[in-house]
Amino acid sequence: MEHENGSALPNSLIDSVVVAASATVGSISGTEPVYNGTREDSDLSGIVGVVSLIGQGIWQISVGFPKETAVAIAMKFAGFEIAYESDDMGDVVGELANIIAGDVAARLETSGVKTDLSIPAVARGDDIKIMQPNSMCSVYMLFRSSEGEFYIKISTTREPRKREEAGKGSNGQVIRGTW
Amino acid sequence: MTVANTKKPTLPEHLVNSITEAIATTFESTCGDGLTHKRAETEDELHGEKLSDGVVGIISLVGDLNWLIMTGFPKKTAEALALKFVGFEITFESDDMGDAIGEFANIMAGDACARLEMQDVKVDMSLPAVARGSQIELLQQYKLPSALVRFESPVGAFWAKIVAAFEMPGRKSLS
Repeated sequence: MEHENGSALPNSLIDSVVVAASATVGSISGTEPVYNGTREDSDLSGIVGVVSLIGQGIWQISVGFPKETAVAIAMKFAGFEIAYESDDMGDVVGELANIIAGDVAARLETSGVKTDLSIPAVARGDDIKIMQPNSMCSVYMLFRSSEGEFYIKISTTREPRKREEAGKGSNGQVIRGTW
Repeated sequence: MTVANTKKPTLPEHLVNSITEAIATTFESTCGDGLTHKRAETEDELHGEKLSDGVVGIISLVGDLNWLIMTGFPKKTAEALALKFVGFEITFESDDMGDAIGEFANIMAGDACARLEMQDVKVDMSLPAVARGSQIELLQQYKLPSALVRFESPVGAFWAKIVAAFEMPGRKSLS
């Protein structure tokens, strides 16, 4: 599977995200979602889960669901209806982001790249956009499931980040966004 | 019959203080003196209603502990911080706002990591993310233990939420 993303994100990482998303949402939905390619980042009225992978590489994965998709997929996930405005919706979306990121981390580990996962952060609202500083680059990936559209955005640094540049101790460890 | 202890673990005060001081120092180095802060007990006390228009900086620390730090800025405070940070006006709607708040989160987390390392707590920081929107809420998965801090400054109020996961195999016990 080839992607012309023109970023510091290797195609193999993007492929892993597609496989992780397909496996996770597919197992919940009963039907694998279709990957509809990359596009420009855009606002979302819905709910987004953000998980970071930190270790021998450093990435960030955002999983965003418009309101209708969130309600439909939460129902499949939990087995009962979950109100969009409820705290339980945060639990579901956080868990979905966690599972997808965990799958990606496991695939990275089989290639010798070990990472830890952060706690998911979940944001809900109107016209939500998850942004990163200009020092980072991202790929915004669109999926269509039987519950509706959703997106996954992977982000990393444009250049390797050194600990001392981030204000930490000077052990010189370089954390790279490459794989 | 034994009764299970269901008390939720709390975040170690000295470590929360390190994060709070990192936020305060980073903000004051950008916007000047006059910042005050206090702990909030509830989300309502922290920031009242949803951020009608706001940005939230999100960054994580992973290592000896697994913490999530979120800093929420209403529009007015975000624009004032961005102006002081970059030296020119940045509108709330522009993508440069993500750049400014993201870099703030980055610098703050770097400071926090250094303060924690001085206390023999070794962590790596994640990449920053910035959530911008209207009626924005930050939800917390599974009601994890958290510390809430409200800040008041001459350029506006903002808040921080520090969330901790304690169930991490191989992690140091810091509670």
